[in-house]
Amino acid sequence: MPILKVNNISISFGGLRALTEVNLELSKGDIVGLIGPNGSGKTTLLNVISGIYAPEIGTIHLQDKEITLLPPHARAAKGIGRTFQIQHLFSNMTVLENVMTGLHKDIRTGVFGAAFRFKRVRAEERIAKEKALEALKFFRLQEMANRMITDLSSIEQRMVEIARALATNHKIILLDEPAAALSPAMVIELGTLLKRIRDEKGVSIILVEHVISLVLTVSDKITVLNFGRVIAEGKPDKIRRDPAVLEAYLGKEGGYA
Amino acid sequence: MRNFGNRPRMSLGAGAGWIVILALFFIPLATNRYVQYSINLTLVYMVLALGLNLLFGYTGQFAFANAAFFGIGAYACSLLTVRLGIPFWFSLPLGGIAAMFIGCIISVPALRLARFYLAIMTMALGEAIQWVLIHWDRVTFGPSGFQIPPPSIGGLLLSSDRSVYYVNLLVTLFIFWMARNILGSRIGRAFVAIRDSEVAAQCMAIPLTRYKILAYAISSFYAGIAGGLYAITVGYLTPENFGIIQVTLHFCMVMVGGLGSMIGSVAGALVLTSLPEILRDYQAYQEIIYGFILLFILIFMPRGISGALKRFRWFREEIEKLTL
Amino acid sequence: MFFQLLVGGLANGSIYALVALGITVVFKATEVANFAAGELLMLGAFVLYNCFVLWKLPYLASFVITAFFFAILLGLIMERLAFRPLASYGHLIQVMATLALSVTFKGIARLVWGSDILNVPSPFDFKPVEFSLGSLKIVISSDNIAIVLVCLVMMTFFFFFFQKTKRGKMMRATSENMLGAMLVGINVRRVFATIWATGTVILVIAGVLFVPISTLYIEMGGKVMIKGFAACILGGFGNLPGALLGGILMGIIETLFGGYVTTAMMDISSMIVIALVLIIKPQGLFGSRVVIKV
Repeated sequence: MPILKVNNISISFGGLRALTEVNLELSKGDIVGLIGPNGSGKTTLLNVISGIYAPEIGTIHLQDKEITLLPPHARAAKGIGRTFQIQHLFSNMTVLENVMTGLHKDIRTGVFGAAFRFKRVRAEERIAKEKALEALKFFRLQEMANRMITDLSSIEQRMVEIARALATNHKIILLDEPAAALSPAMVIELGTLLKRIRDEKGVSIILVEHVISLVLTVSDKITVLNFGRVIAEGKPDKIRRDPAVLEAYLGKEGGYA
Repeated sequence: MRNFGNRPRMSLGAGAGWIVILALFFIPLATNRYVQYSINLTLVYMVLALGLNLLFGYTGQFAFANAAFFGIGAYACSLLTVRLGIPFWFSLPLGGIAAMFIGCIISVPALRLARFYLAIMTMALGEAIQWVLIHWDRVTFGPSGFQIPPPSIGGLLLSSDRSVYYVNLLVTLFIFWMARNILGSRIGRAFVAIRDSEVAAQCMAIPLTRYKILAYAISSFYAGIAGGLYAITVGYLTPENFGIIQVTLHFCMVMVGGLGSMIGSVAGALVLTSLPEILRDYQAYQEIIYGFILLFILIFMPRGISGALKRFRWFREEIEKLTL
Repeated sequence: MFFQLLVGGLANGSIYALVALGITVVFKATEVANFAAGELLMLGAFVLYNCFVLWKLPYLASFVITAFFFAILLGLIMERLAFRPLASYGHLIQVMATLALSVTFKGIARLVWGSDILNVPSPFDFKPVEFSLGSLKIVISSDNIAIVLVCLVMMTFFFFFFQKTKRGKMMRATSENMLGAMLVGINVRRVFATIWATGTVILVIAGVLFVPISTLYIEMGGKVMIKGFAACILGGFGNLPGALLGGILMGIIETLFGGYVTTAMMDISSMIVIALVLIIKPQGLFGSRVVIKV
């Protein structure tokens, strides 16, 4: 049973069809790559999965339970985490606080508990802080924990975003172009990191990326989108040679000078 | 070192803080009646500014209803004491709860509205509350207002400005402590998260609506408590105190102090409360100066005092400790 | 009685329609809700009082001085102080600036004219007009007729101005699409100044018209502004004909409330309207703007 099943998703914005009959399956412990030219709908699909957009047609199932109608925060509570292509960091917090916010659902503090600082609340905060530091250690960023997030370089910020998604035990993490602007060496390191995340934490990952080398190395399966439709699906080797995929990225043979 | 769910052990800043707080208890020995009254009023407005800061500075809700909640708290608390004989230490929180109740009711439609509609609706609410205070005179004593008897707590009659000071001080410190705790918890992080990026906040399992309603609740509760303190500080309540000029004053304080900064709220309240007292008999000047200050701050210092101070690094550290 | 009330409400309604128009003209272009609208009206009323009663100028001269020289000056001040320096900060800050100005204007007015309530004699001496339709008997005072007439004139004027004249079309273009207007070579800054001036003139005239049917006091602006906003919301915020219709409706609703329930309820009718509209149909009658946050 796949951990995430996206069935026949279609969505339009105004008159523009963003996704048409998209299907995707994620098995537990897999890394699925999602690639396609700019504007093919990759981020839109992630937004539909995390609940920010509601599809017009289609369903989404998380471990056999339908979540199509759940609001984003409920889906996050059920174990779907994500990062964003345009940074959505909390710029008025420190690095540590950003990651601790990722742990929001693991803390049970309510207003009264917070206001009067019951013992249980203090304990939960301490545990959350430790978990957040653990997540930062994964990226060797624990030294920066108390710096304002805006003080970090954009690459470090992106790592913090992933750490924020990782800090709590999500079942699925959606990554939106984590390798953008990384040097080739760092891309390779990111790939190793992703595999480590999957191996050590048992997380299933959907990876949206433009850096094809990363996707080909890391994914167990790849789905290719173009103009909102799935044009190819399968193992990396097969995708690499698929003519439809090449055409989508490079245009028809002899089409361009 | 940021204070965030993990209190620093007696660092220099915290130690200095305790000394300051202790010193606060000795202030009445050094002041005359007039200055004491001013200080009492400042404390009231600090509580109020804190609440508004939470709603506006943290969750970004542009709601003008603060003066209404202030009035509801003041009237509810005082009427319960005057008409029903409920002792002050009980009617004060009740006033806060009354304001919070209305605040929660308002928040539900308020959250569905975009910017100006929210502003207009809350401004209309403010006018409506004033109208009720004026016209429901069987209960509220109508436009001429009524006198607040000095509160008595556990048999002790607090008739002097000095004793009112201690009441205000204790309540303010308590409110502050609660606010600091809340803001230092996951709730505080959620508030900032909502302000910085609603989308990301949602994806961290933060339910937006619930937290925004919570912000309304806390903010209106604080305004209500401030109202009760205002009543015993000033000693007399009339409906005309709770109109648009209050709203402007409150926004002034929050903007002067700096949005999203607790210490900013304190500073803003401090700076701007000395004014009403100096200008008490000159309503026209009050209005001109408040309007002018707000305009000035908006144009030249939109980040307020705390924002301007943040440019100085060493100050930043100190402020971070007391800010969220 | 119903028709008497209906007709009586028209005068008030015309004024609210003008207030709503003044607010909407500025809002459409700048996305700023002008919270100083009430005070602009109040200043219009007081400046007219000043010219007509204190300086004993003839009515027409007072009207022109107030409604044009003073109003245009005031509008330019508003644009210069509340709008231009804050253009980069966003609408919320600009709205707060209008709030700040409203309080400042109140203070200045209080300084100049004091806090007393004033009564201005009507410039019109004609007897009230009586109307009989079958068994219906309706009385309309000359003030009311004058107000409605002036409002009609103004509405027609502005209709032609916005639809037919070049200036008007430039203003509409800038309202709809500032960037496009700039690209076409329209001097956007001057247009914005004109827009603020126009909005202010409308509000000041509304204040002048309000004088014969109301007492003058410094706080008079607040209530009228809420009614103006209620009118805008009723008609659909950002919609010019909607604002006018909303204003007239507000006047009628208010008078009906006053007649059938109690006069004390007249003031609160606007808040009830706001609440009802925002809950039931937030776009109002004609509005298409996004009111509910996505």
